[in-house]
Amino acid sequence: MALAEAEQRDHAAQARMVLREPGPQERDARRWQQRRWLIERSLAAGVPLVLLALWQAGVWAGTIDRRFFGSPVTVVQTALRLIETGTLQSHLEASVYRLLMGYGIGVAIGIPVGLVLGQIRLARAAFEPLLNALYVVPKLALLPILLLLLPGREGPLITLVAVAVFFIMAISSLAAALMTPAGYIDVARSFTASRWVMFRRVVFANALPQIFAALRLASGAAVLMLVGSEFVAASSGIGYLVWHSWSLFLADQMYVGIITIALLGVLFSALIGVLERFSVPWAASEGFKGNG
Amino acid sequence: MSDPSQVKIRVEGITRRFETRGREPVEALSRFDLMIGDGEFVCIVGPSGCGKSTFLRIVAGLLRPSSGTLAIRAADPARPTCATVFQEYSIFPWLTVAGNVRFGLEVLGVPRREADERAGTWLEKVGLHTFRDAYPAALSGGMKQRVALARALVVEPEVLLMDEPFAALDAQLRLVLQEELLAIWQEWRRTVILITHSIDEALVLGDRIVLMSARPGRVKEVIPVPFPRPRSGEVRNSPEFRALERRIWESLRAEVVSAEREGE
Ligand SMILES: Nc1ncnc2c1ncn2[C@@H]1O[C@H](COP(=O)(O)OP(=O)(O)OP(=O)(O)O)[C@@H](O)[C@H]1O
Ligand SMILES: [Mg+2]
Repeated sequence: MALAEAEQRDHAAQARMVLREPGPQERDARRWQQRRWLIERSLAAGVPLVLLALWQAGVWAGTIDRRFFGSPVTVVQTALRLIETGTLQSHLEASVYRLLMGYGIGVAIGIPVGLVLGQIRLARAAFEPLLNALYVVPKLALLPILLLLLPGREGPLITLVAVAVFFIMAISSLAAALMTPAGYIDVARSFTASRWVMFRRVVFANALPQIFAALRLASGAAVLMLVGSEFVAASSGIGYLVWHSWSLFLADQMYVGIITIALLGVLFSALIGVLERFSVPWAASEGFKGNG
Repeated sequence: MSDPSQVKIRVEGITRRFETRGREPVEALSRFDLMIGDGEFVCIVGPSGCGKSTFLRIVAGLLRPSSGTLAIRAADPARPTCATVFQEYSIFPWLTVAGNVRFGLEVLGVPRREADERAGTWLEKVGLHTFRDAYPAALSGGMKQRVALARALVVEPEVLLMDEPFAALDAQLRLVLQEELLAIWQEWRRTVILITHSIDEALVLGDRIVLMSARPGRVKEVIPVPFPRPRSGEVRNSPEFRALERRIWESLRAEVVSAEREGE
């Protein structure tokens, strides 16, 4: 008995309380959310600003060579001048036009092709290897041929962007379509859904989150392809501005171009994000979004 | 090793609200109080949507309460405090049966050989050792739920949490698994919280039944189950069992009806 009691006390000494209590997030949900929002926004804005300040400080201290790297202050001055003369706008306009046309065409063909290949076994057997083989061919290598085959200056550039986007969208959509859980297919089939209804209401809906991930990837690839081809085969556009400035050794002007491209990429990605929030409402509350 | 006179879990005034953008906040739990003794088997019943799963998730530490506290007396720092068998199938399709059961042990850093052995022992206890290398896709619903049970038990948690573990099974299989759980628990004697829709199941398995009110959920009634241990499904045959079942159903029905009204 005494032994049992002693053991009891031992246990008591070892015991520790595991608590489940509200944290700051639960105690004042609104304030916590506001605080988190503020912290996140400050980080998003603060990190680039700090980097810019370091850049400028480096130039002033002489550790960064102004001839190659410019400086934030002179870059901004150059940008203002380019905007005043309208040069930047006209280049931007040319690039945005090619980007949207190419991206739109690539997406409009790529998604249906991928999803349809996902539905039809024989089509998949026929085209999937080809798709994968062509995907790895560097598209920029097609530029000389396209320049020869297609009339005009815009056609080849737009086509190139469209091709790059097409492959990413088609391959991702195909993979997404193939991952439709059998349970959902069975549900739709048990309601005797037609192939089209199955496709639209189940396969496409289920693939949407992945399609959006692919849209983001493709937006980056589209900008990359556009700038690359403007380097070599255009006399307008942001890519041309960058290349042209560099060959004239105008570092500041080149950075204006590079930063414009970066901003274009950010804006593009943000637009897709907005579209995603509207198109995939069910993804908002589902899953773990990280809270570290 | 367990001592029912000692409090294992103390729940004091737990509330939980859910805020969804653009909608009224939902109050899932409201001032929920409960004491659970060490080694006690508690069954929770209540109308659908009354916050049973929410409560269990708070005990498991997956969700925090909006207010109130819940303290679990963890006696052995070497063992996990809680392990959960979830309402929906939650075993990983990308792991084999044995891989699923080993998962918790791997997280705890148990050496591979020992983990294999312990997983093997529990797979045998739930009758799945011949399927150890199969993937879940090849299992029936009942087998999957046995895997989930083995996965939770193999880590020897101080508290076992189960959220309608047998709800998706057919009636016969349910009886079989209830018997299995009863046998395992009578040998193993740890604190268990089991959520169920079935009063019958709660009466066969539990020491006490906690009846929850319609949403916002709180404790409406706590009913001690008088049948002696060790128990088996035979207790169903006694007239006391039927009488108690009827009495609890009367009380529960009032809540189910009010939950339905609320939903309209
Ligand atoms: N993550 C969440 N976001 C918003 N509301 C939630 C969330 N989880 C639960 N709820 C709401 O809280 C209430 C209680 O849900 P809970 O899952 O705990 O019910 P339950 O008693 O387990 O029901 P059932 O018996 O049907 O499983 C419900 O009204 C539900 O809509
Ligand atoms: Mg539930």
